[in-house]
Amino acid sequence: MSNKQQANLLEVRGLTVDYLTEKAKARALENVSFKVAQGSILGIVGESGCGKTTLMLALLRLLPQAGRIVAGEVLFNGRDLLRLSENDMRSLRWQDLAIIFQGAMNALNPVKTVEDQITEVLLRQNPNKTSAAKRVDELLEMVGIGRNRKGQYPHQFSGGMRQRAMIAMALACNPKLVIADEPTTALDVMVQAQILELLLQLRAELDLTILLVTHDLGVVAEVCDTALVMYGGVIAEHAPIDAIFNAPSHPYTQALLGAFPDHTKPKTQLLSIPGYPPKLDALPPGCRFAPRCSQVIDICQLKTPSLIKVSDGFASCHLLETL
Amino acid sequence: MRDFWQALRRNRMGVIGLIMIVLTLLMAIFAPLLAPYNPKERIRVTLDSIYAKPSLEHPFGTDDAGKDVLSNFIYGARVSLTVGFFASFISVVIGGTIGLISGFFGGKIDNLLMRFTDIVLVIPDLPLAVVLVALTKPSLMNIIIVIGILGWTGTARLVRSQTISVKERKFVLRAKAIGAHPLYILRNHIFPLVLPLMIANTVLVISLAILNESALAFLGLGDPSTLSWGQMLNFAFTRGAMSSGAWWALLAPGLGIVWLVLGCTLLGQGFQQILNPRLESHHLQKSEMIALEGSHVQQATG
Amino acid sequence: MSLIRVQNLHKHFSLSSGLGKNLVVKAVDGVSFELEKGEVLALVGESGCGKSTLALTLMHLEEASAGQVLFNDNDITTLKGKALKNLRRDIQMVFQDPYESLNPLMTVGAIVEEPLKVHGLGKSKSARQEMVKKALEDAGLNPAESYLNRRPHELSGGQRQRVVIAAALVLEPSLVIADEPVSMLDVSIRAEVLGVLERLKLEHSVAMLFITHDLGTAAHFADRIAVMYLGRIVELGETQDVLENPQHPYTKALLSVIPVPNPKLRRKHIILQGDPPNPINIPGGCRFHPRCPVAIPTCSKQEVALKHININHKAACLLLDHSA
Repeated sequence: MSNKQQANLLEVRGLTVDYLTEKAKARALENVSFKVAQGSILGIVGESGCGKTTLMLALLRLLPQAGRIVAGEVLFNGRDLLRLSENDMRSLRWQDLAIIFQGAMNALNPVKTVEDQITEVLLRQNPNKTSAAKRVDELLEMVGIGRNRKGQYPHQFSGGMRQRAMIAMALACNPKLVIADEPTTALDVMVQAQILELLLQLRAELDLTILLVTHDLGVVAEVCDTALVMYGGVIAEHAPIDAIFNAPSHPYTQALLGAFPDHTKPKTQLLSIPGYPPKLDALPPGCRFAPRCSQVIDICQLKTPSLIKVSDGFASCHLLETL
Repeated sequence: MRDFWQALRRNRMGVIGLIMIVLTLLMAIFAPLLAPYNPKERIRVTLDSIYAKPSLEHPFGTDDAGKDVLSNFIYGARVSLTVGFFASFISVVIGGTIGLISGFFGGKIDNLLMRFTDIVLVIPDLPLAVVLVALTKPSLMNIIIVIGILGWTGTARLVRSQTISVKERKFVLRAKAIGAHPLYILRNHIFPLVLPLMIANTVLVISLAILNESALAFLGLGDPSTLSWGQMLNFAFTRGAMSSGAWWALLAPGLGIVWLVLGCTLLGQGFQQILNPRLESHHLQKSEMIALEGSHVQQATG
Repeated sequence: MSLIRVQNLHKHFSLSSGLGKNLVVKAVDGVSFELEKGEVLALVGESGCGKSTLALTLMHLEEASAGQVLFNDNDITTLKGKALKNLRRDIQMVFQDPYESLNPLMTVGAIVEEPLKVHGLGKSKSARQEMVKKALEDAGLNPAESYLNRRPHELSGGQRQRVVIAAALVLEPSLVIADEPVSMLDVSIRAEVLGVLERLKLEHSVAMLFITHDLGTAAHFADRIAVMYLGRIVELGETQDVLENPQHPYTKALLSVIPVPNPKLRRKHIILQGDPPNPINIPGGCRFHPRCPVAIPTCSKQEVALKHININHKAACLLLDHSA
């Protein structure tokens, strides 16, 4: 048993989240379950409104006011995060769980120097100023920001540098799990490559476990070990990336790959998925992908498929059940 | 438009302001029905009826000429409102035109118009208004014009900044790309998006105009043939209401001015909160909708 | 005869720094290319490389500082007034952000009809209405009637971008400049919108300048690719040629870092350090030399021009001479 717990740093069971609005209740996440092995990188992919951001916020218990976790467990090192007091959770957030947000410009305080912002995080844990100062230098070196730039303000940094500063801040307290929400989305490809390389290098040095939330399948293929493909608030498929990219089980994963540009296959036709992703307040009955699925059968419109074991991973599709 | 009214209904201060204004409007429109006496009617004055205390006969007492203060107050609302509406209309037309032209064309035109605006802005309104009204005949028309042509600077600056922000939007660039004439773009793409803010601003300008009118009238520069609230104050003040302890002659018009100005300010600010997204962000309902579309927004920014 | 021929086009902006020094931003600094009827040329580069400024300059939304643009062999760089307005019928633009490029107060019908009204096309309201419906259907909004009275906020991002496309093609242009037309859309929607553009090219022989930072999308869509770096084209060739046989070190680096949705293809990345350079301080010599992994001393001294590798493939790198 103890052996198994070491293997899985994070285990999510049946996580279900609702958004309450004046008029209606929208189910943003339904029965999401997955495990993340210590030291691995899990990519959480999907289109707009698939629930990937909600999932990330729910894990951290940072949902907006209207969001409610209505069921499920989030086991981190065997402890259920959803049962912790708000205070325990808050201290856990920087110490063990760290977040890297998408828009580094919005996530950093514009009127404080980068050095001050990282120091602030450190002092919250340990009020020793000299050790904090030393640690800031260490962190900045780790993420590749020159010492001469630590006294500067975020607006003096380029997009890539800001994202590095964000990473330094996230790593300040030696977290075990880092959740990165679209960390490279607004960046140029070259800078994106720099940041992804940095994440891989830090993972190796610090034995980090990383959840990478992204809409870019290419990024997942480049850096992740396993991937979670989400659609309309449920897990469509969860498998090691070799399976996801070379033998996808779920029709949505297959369709998504057909639509994704790949410069190594020039002049091939990109295949579109007809229709639009579902809105959370108007989910179709049965399987949520059914209205856009090319392989739809009768049962798809009636019954919601459950996540079942397929060769290398898990997928939720009726076609796989009948096999 | 329907969204707008729904948003206004949720803005409590705006609703209160609207009710305050509507009540005053109703009072002004139905003045002949509501007022117990006609202020224009000639009456015989006795010593007892000068500054008579509030009584059943005269609920707000009487003034220095023995006239019913309540009736004067009800009819006075008509003058204050008339001046407020027409003067602010003039202000908004001038300010709106200058703001639109300045913001849209930019460059030298903008520089010239904004320097001119600054000059008008730094001249103190009231002394200049006093001089202008004193030079012309103090008629209601002249008062409206003077207040109108002095009160447009705020509108001009507001409309200019809104115009600049709308001008930067991509659909304006798209309109240029299809070959639309600048005036066409100004009329069809920029003006309709600036208009709501101009309307909201009008309500605020009305309150300024009413205050200015009251101040002018209080200083004795009102139209002698009409009786506004400011003039009621002026008469009470200069004709010994204070020395004879007749507080009632001052109370009603004073509160009337405060009431109407407050109503306009509340409604105007309510409008601006709804129309100006930066002020709107604290709105709970909106933030819930954003939460629901969270991942939408988040991808859209990528 | 090329549909459009751009010759040594420059667009410089001057910024006054307040200290009396005038900084010059050389956003576009000597760009030449040609585009044939019905051809798609992808202009690829990182942010700040000048690709969007180039688009605006071609559209006459910015005035060119130097150089020439020949459209159907007529110099259009100095057009004004009526002639310029007529040209606008022929060149249309699709912008990146479908949320910003539609007037929120207008209905879809009015938005698509607007270009017709501006140019006085269509004999009557009903004739224009028919043209609007056809444009909407060509852009994949079926049935067109159901969209006419809707407003932009009722539409999804993909639908809005189709409205933008419909408003461009209602004038039957011969050239469409598309600035990142799909980069803000979801992957599953992108292919459809690209499909609409592709049909335009095939059925109406519309030529397209497709501006993007995404070589992946360009690979599927473009006939030719031009790679831009700091205001200049550094490599230009047929899509397959450029992707499979890149000649310029910058193209090579770019190709090596674009994520590929295939974990078996994890390649060696050529990661250029530092940030994309600033078009205010353009380095002398080859402008790529400070970041170039294979630079030789001559690179900092000698300007480079595009040289033919084969008849359709050009690149600007000194090393090409040396290896040849």
